[in-house]
Amino acid sequence: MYGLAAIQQANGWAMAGAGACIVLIGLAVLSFLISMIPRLTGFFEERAQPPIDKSEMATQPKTIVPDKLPDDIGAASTIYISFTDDIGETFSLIELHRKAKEVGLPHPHLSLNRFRDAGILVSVGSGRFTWKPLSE
Amino acid sequence: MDLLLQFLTNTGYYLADYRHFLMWGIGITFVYLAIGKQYEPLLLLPIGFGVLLGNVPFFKGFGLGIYEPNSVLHYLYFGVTTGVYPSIVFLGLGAMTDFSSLLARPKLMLLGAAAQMGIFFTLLSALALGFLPKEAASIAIIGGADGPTSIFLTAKLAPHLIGPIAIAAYSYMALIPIIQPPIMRLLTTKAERRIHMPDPRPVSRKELLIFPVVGLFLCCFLAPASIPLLGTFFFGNLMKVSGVVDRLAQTARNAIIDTATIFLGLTVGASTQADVFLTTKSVGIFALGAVAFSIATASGVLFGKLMNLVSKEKINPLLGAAGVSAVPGSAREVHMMGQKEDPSNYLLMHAMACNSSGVIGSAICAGILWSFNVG
Repeated sequence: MYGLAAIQQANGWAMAGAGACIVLIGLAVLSFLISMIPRLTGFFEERAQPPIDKSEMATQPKTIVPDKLPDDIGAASTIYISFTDDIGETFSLIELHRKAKEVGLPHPHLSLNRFRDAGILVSVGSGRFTWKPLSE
Repeated sequence: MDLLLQFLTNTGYYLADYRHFLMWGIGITFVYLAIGKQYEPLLLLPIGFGVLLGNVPFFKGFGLGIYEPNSVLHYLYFGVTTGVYPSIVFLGLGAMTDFSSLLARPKLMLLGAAAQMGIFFTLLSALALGFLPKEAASIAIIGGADGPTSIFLTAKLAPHLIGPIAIAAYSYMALIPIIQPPIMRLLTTKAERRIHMPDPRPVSRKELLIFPVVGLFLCCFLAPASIPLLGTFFFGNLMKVSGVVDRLAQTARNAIIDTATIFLGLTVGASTQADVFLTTKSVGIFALGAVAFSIATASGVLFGKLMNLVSKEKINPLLGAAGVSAVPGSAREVHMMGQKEDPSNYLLMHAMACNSSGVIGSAICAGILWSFNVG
């Protein structure tokens, strides 16, 4: 049997319709649930955290972030190098990117790409990177 | 003299016919694509060599062929027919996958779901062409663009079609750079291809830890037949993100997945014995596979455009093409097309999010199709 009759005979319309709906609804629900995870974890973390001492906050130094990175790649890299002081000598690009985003540096993707192209940011294997000063 | 003649009539040269040479042509093409063009070499090289191996003519009854009980190849093929290799491959995939970009923007998961529509369209097409429901379901899963999932479902529903279905699935995965770009270009405008996606927010370790458990709970409860794939997938991911079993995670994403891939590719290739493979059904499977893949890509892109109509925050509709679960080939294509239009457009991370949701989506579809066709 062929054609529409074969689809009808095998209950194909129902299989395709139900299957498509199940996978769409299933992933939509999963998507909704995972969008709720940060709220849930945030809620529990908020409850678990001790109250913050405001006077202590006022004395903490603030990071000064330039609106625009210097055109000179060496100067630009020094800003990024400062982020890795507390991460360690080797670090993953995700960590560095996250730090740059946290302080609001513009276009961290592009900057990291430039550092890699210039050989300032080099791979040490296993997904870790390190800084290599520009040769004079 | 008789002994010599007997020996000569037992050689592959004497037993070969045009079908063996045709299959050798296919095998050599795969090996060439893997080595010369570097199209999915990890898959095409073992499969291509497996095609050569499976099409060395031999005397039936010697216990040599993959379909002959007690042959070595038959024992290695056991991992395919029982669905063991795909399950192991999923363990390794889970241990490799970084879900942080998906967790940062969960709505991209909908694109992974939309790209599965190719599966259900192909199901109808295969039924209309006269395939039995179990065969049609096995062919349809090619639209998920996921080799292990295709093999797994076919092993359960239509084991006699594993060879052509696996070859079709992997061939189209390798041909992503040829199949997907024209469809993406056709369905999107230049302005849409230039849409920049905002950088994803940082994702906490807690979120990464909760996701595999929530994913397992939702997907495997929804379609329990997907347990062998998604169970190992989420377990592999939990090993990766937990950070406490680095040794196990490393082994899963390196040695274990590599071992399974070698035997999976080699035996699937060897299962294409000319007398089993060269049938009119195989031609139909290849044609339907192309349809499945194209519809999957198109439905992902079109759903991306639809999301832009109803949502304030615009997304680049090219990302829909990465909703098929060909990791990372389709994500790479999306990224490259985005960069071609605007070199400062970085879509790779977002495309990987759609890709990983496609893996989950196609495994759920396999579970659904299996449960529809049980009995």
